[in-house]
Amino acid sequence: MDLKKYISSGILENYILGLASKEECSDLESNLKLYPELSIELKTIEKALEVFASAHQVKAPAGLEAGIMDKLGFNKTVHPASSTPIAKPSSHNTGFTSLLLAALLCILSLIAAIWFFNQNNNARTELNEVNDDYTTLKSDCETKDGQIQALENKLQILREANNLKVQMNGTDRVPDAIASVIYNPTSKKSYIDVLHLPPPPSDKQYQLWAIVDGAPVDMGVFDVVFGEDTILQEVPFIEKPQAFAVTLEKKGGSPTPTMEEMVVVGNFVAG
Amino acid sequence: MVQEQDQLEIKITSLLRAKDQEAISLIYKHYADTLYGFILKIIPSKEAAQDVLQDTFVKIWKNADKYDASKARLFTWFVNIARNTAIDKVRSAQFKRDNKTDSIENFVHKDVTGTEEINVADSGLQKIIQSLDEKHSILIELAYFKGYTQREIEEELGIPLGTIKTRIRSAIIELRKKLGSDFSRNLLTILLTLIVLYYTSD
Repeated sequence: MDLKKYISSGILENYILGLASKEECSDLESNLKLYPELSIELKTIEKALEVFASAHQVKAPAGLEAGIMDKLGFNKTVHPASSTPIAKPSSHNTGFTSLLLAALLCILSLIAAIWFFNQNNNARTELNEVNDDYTTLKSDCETKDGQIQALENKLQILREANNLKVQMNGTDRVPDAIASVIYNPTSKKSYIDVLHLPPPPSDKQYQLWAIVDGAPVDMGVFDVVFGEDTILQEVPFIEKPQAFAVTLEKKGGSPTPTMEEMVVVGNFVAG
Repeated sequence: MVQEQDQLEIKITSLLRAKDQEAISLIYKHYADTLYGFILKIIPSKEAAQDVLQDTFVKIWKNADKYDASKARLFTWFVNIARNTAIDKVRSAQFKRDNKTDSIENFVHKDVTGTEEINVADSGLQKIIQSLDEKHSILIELAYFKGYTQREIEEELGIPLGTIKTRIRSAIIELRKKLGSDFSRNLLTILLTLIVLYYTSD
């Protein structure tokens, strides 16, 4: 049987509306048992008509139920109106409630999503801050590491065997000035270590001298800014010095020392 | 909703079979208003309509064992009983069905616009029903509420007998479509409104 053709003939609607003839009815009823699609379509039409009918519902008078119960000889009090929480099938209340519930759920999940989004953002910001701090600390640490390394190297120099130390004390011009020369005849290296020298004027520089056979020998200019690079500065090695002295000279140094500008001096005592 | 409705029908059916009085309470609670509105369409007199409603319940109770769930839904069965009871009443001596000879205009005016009673169905549903194509709603009114036979519809509306069946089908298809689309549209509207509200209230 062509079900589509059968359905579209309108027989189902007419059956429900009671418009079908007796033969059509019994035909349809036996077909319903054979074709499940037919009953599904039938039920859908019935439901549509039920909704249609419920759109026209009118509140029945209050006393009517008791009248019906009386007519049927029921004792109403034995069976009070059922409190079964099944919704009125003929109204859209249940549909509306579930709509409302669905909408509420949607709002809740929306709020939750926004809350989590914010949480995530906050966490991200915090993480970035901590990351920045970490980077700063790391580079600080690396700088310090370099400084420690440099200082260790300097310490190595000071601890070397056969080191001789010549302390140079301040002259009358600068009585509190003090500096030393570390002199090692074995490794043939020498260093100047400034403990305290006043900062020179911007156009001047300190220059170190060795006195060899009574004559000054240039040992180069140096800076007095404190730092791991300047704490112990290597200077040229001079054989057989008798004394060391520092004078204040023009920038770049002078070929001969300016004796009036001598700030520290110390005699070399051979060990 | 539909599932709850089905559950309700199953429950009532088994109560009816067991001859449990609670069946009548349940039917009254869930269907009395709809059946009353239905009967008022056929019999505008409240008093007579109430009589018919009472008789309908009595018939439901007495014929409970005749209901066959495989042939029709419970509600369809109720409506058939109510319609037949009402039509019997109309055809009895004191109720001549004068309306039947009225013109279509009168018919529509009297019935589609509703009775004076307070209509308890929700307004959204009312709007859908009213938005139906008039030639369709008349057809459903005549066949469903009035119990007109195909021949009577032919006389009333001048539609050839052969096309009445299919015309009724397209009327009900329109009803089904309207009910379906309205539901999803409402859902969408409500959701969008809520989302907009949420964002604008921030």
